[in-house]
Amino acid sequence: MALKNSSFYRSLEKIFVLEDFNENKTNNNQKILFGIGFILFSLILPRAIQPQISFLLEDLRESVLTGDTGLLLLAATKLVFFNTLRHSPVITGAFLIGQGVSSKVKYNRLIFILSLFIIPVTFRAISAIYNIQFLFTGSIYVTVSVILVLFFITQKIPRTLIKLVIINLFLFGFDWLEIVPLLARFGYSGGEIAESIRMVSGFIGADYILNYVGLTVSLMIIINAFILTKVVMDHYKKMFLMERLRKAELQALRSRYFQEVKHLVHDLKTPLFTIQGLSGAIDMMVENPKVANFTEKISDSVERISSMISEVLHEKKLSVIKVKEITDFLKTYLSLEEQQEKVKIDLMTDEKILANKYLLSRALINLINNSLQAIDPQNGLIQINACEENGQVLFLVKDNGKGIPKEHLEKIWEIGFTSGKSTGLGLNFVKKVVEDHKGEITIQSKPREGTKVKIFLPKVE
Amino acid sequence: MLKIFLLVLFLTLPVIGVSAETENNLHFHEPILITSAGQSLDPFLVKAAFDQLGIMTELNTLAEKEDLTQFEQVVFVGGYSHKGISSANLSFNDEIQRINGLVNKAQENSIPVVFFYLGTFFLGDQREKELIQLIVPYSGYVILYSGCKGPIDYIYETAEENDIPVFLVESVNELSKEISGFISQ
Repeated sequence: MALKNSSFYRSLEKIFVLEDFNENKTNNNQKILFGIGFILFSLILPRAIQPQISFLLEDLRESVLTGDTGLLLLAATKLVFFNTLRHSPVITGAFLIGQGVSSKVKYNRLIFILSLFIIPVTFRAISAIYNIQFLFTGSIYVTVSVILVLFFITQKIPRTLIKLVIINLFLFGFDWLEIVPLLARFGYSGGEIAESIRMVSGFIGADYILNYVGLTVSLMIIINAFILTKVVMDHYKKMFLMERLRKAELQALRSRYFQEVKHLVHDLKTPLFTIQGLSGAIDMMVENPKVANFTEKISDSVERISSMISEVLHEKKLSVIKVKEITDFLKTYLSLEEQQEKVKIDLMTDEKILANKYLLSRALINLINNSLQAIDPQNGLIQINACEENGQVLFLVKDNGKGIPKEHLEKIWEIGFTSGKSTGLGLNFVKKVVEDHKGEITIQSKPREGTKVKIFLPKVE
Repeated sequence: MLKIFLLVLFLTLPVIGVSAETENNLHFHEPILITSAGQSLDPFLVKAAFDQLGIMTELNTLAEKEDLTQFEQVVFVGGYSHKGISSANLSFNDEIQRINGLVNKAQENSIPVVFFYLGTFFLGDQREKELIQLIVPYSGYVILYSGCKGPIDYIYETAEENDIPVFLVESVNELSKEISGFISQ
């Protein structure tokens, strides 16, 4: 339980398990750090393995003197295990560093390929530290090729852990091939002990057994690695399709939702006409100036509602309005809200814009509602400015709320994306409205500091 | 008949050529001490081959000069191995001193020295040549695997400079058979 709550565990989970890290710069940094950790581990590992290598050599010597094929096979199995153990952190480290670095730069493929040069450099470092020759053998060449192929075909798969499992499975399979005497003829060679094993195998007449066991085990592992790759790729392909389907469904839902709202708003017109008609009738029937004043106000209100309905029904219809009309609309809306004292609206321009007043106001109300959810009930504050900046009209919605995590910032505009209980339609709607107004929207946010949304709209002379 | 004779002569030329050139035959004086020069696995292959031939040998890869007294001949099996040296907890200098001591003792006591080189694994290390230089000039003869991965030319040159006969082994897998072939010559 304590381990699960530790920051180390959370970092591991972020890198190896969570699916959305590809777009997260923090996790890329963590990947690089873990990669460096693996490389450092690979530098100290040979010291731990050395005593085991001595036991392995004993088995090998014994098998020469006794002609015992079983001992030779045991030595070969141990060698493959230790080789994979020594190769794995180097390969894993280089892969993690490559992925972390390449995700941060423009030419990511080239950078990933270049980062794989960490492998021979590490091999050289191990050779220098222990005064041995840690060879770049056949299995490493083939594994590096597999890493490159996997990098290109699984770029969309975000889970690093599954990729590492596949890579290490391939590595284990290719390490087994190093003890197969048959492959020595084709230049697939291993290090000193692998060569000795092949030599002993020939000497005691165990080539057939070593070929058979080495090839069988290796093929089983490599085939499993291929199957796993295929299954993972199919799984993610299915997931991507499902994700696209979900978005399409949400789009359809949104479209149906607005359609129904339009029908509802359209239906409002009938009672409004009745109110308008009856108000006119009262005005004609009663010659009381007070009543006349009331009916005039009723008539004006009905006309305003009618105009709003018209804007809802014809969302593409834009008209020249003053920025003040928008801020007034917001003030009217906020006067009904419980937390109105937390919102401050400053109008600093008398410019005009081409806008659908209702839709633009709804978009701003969406932003205000998001801010109201984000701020602290005690010290929360929302500032709305309408001003002129760089020859455009700027609507600024700024809060001192909890902010948006970096990994969510890229996705907030996507339809269906939500970090809470909302439908995930809100910010997508805001963006669409701004774009329909030929405007631009930007967002800046820092966790625990707040969020700043800027909407720029072209002003009208 | 002449054709058959020429064919047999052609097929056996490599071995006859080397042996005839040096005008020497292979002799083993039992008991033989087999030791390593570089701690590779090769001495074990040589020991197994001698065992198959029924030649009385003792394998001591870390033999010191004091161990030599009870033997009539010493066979050094060359081959530098990083892993062998480190698993024996030796340094290369320790190995050089040990071999030097053995060679000097063999010289003092007129114990014949044989240098065996199979070179099943070679890293292109200069240390391999140092080992060869330590033993070959004092050897009665050199037995060399023709398919070895080591510095075969260097061994030939060193042997030639010191007028040491070289016997070529064609297959490690058939090592005992090949050695018995040399003995019968």
